Amino acid sequence: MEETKNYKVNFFKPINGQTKANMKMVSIMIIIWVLAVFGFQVLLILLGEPTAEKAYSSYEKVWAKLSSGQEISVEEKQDLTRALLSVIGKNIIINKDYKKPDGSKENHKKILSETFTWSVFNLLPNDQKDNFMQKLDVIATNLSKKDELQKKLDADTTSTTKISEKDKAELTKSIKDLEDSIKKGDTELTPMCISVIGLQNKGFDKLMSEFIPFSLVSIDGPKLSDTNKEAIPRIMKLYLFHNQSALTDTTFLGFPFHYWYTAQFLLILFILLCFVYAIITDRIDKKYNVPEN
Amino acid sequence: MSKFYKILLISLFLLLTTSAVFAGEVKATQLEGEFKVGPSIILITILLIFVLVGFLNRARDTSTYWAAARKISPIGAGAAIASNWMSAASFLGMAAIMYASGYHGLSYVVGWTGGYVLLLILMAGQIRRYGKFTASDFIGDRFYSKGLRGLGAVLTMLISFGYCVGQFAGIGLMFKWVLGIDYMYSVFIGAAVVLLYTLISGMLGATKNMQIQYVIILISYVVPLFIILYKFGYFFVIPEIGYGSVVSDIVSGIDISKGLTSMGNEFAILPSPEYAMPWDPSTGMSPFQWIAICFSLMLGTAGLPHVIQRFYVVPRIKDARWSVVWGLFFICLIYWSAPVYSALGKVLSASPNVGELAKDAIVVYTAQLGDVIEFITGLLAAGAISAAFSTVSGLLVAGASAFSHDLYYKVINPKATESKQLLMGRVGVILMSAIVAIIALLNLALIAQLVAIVFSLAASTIFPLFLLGIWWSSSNKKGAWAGTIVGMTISLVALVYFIVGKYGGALPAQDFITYYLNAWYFGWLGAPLAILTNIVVSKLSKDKTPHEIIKFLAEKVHGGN
Repeated sequence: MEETKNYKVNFFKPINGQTKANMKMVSIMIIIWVLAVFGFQVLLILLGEPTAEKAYSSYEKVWAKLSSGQEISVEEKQDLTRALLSVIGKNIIINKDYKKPDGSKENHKKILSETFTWSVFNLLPNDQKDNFMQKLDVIATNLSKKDELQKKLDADTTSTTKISEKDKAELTKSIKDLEDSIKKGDTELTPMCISVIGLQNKGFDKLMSEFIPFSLVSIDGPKLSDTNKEAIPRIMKLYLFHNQSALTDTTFLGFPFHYWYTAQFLLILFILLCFVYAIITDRIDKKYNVPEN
Repeated sequence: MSKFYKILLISLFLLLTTSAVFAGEVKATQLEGEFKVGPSIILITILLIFVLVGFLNRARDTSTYWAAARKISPIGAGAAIASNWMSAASFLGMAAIMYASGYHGLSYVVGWTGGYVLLLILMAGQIRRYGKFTASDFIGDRFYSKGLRGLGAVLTMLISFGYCVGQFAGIGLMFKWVLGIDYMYSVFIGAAVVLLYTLISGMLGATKNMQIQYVIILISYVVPLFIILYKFGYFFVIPEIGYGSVVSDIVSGIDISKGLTSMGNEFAILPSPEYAMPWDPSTGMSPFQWIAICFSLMLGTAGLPHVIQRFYVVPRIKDARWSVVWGLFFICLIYWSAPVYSALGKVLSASPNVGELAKDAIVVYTAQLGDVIEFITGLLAAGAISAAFSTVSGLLVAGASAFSHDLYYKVINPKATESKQLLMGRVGVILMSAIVAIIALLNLALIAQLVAIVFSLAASTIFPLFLLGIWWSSSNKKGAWAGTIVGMTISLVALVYFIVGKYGGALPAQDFITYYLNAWYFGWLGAPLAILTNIVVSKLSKDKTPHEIIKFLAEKVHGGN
């Protein structure tokens, strides 16, 4: 019995000098490791403040007025439209289905596009409004026609019902024609939008105008739907607020500091920890004559 | 060593000559959907080089193999560790997840490197001293249980299997890109090629070309970054530092005044702080998820059978430790570079004209959108495929040997002849790759997430057994069983909820479980609970670890005199 006791291995109850030295080193390293990795993230959580992008404040002012039924000026309408466009410009992340607080799903791109089109419509002079709506309807009809034809063409490769080569060529041609007319419609509408929003042909403005043809959709009428009215404040808040703090706003080697720390420094630290461990263990092994094999 | 350099030089020379073959027809503007001649040639060349190198370098018999292995330096062993580790998840998956969800994706970078610290300081040397051949050998021996050995083999198979699914998805995507065919066909073609490659290289014993594989993976991964950063006026000498300004520029936006274009699109982006800011609301990811993923991946790294097994074959304990240090350094060279792809990809795909891209192929798209010449883009795709290939062939062999050696021979049919075992091994490889290919077709998640599933599984089951098995001799058979069953139950719950949710169903508390026990990070709870159960049951049960195991642990494994 006595003998067994002496042999017991327990990380926290070292039995001799070598295991004691090892325990000390390993404990220190794990503490450094935990603090460096997770401690920093906790710091980021604690310090992070939701900070709004510039576009948010201009949107918020106009939206508040709008919802309380006040009259808004042309400039304010322009500000709102720009703010919507700058969120649409985050194109990769907005194009997926999101869960609403009540559990149902909504597509943010669709809501933003409808609101944007409505907002542009409001900016247009009265004599252009009908023309604008008609063109949008034409584009929408062409788009749905095109999708239908495309589906037919795609069905050829996936299902057993084969289409003849001649029909295929015809389908491809009609799709091409529809695409051309959609493009034509877009090129007519885009300059109209650019001029009423007041976008300039340089800087971020030019970049924003690139998104216009992708954001115009056909809308039901001059009023914004209730679903969109309810959704927009939520959506704008979601995309225009970011967790920022001194750690994220300081730059280091060109990086936002926190990004550098996590993406680069932690990896350097891991290598250093391993390096130091290997050296110290070599020494411990030598000191206590631990056999090499 | 000089032989190694010679082979390396020959390989590089071969690559350059293939580039000359089609240097005339550069630039393919189409992102996909067409057969790409250049990249196909490079791909075939690289695979041939691997087989050829294996052939030239083959060990005549086992004793020369071991003699050669002893001569390998810790640096060379480190490159082998890195090459073994580097898979489609590192090469394609990490950049994809950062591209899609910004800072959240860094949890994968940190998780997959930080685990090596645990592996080294808690296990590497002790595992080497314990001196078994496979993970299930260790488990069966330490916990003196045939049943646990069988369970260990099953877990090893499951882990290899799950790991392969993500790799096959990556291989399929890259074959789709190179050949311009449907994802479905490309997965099957890719599976067929990888199977052939595994069988051929298995016969040649081509495990020693790993250093060359690493060099090719590294070169193909980093070269496009120099070119793209140079093109857009960033500090390109060390791309891993130069892209810092790209990240800052994404936050504040890049307007078109620089006038830089690439393939007709401006190198510009509207202000997008969501890319770099921690757990941005728009990514839908919370700090808890960041920490849980990071933690699960770290523990999983230290519990992956095919990673642990590498330490059994290192001749000297000192070398085992130093090879981890070097291995981690070589891994980090790639992991420092992955975020560069996501940052550049983010800007290059910001224009609405580019349209939605397959996230898992963002590395290759970035090179294409950056208008890097087709030869180098082709090399990149080939690098991705070879990263996946080296991992898959290792996993297929590990999974098959767990089946034929640990399960079939040791548990089911101890009288099996050697040729019967070999046959079972081959059948295992073929069956496994067929099933993996079918699951890869389901497109369940991003590559990195698919791979993360097995890390959580390893963290909840194998990691606790090794940790307690090595560091606490009172952990006994009953405790090991109880802990492993708890870990497996948690894994099962997480996976069932994941699959049900994936197909639109809802079980009780679906949202709650999906958030706290998500398939890619259930290890954060699974591992601690399994460890706790193991300790409590070991203490309560009357079962005692046999004296000779305790003595062996104290004298041999921990080197106490």
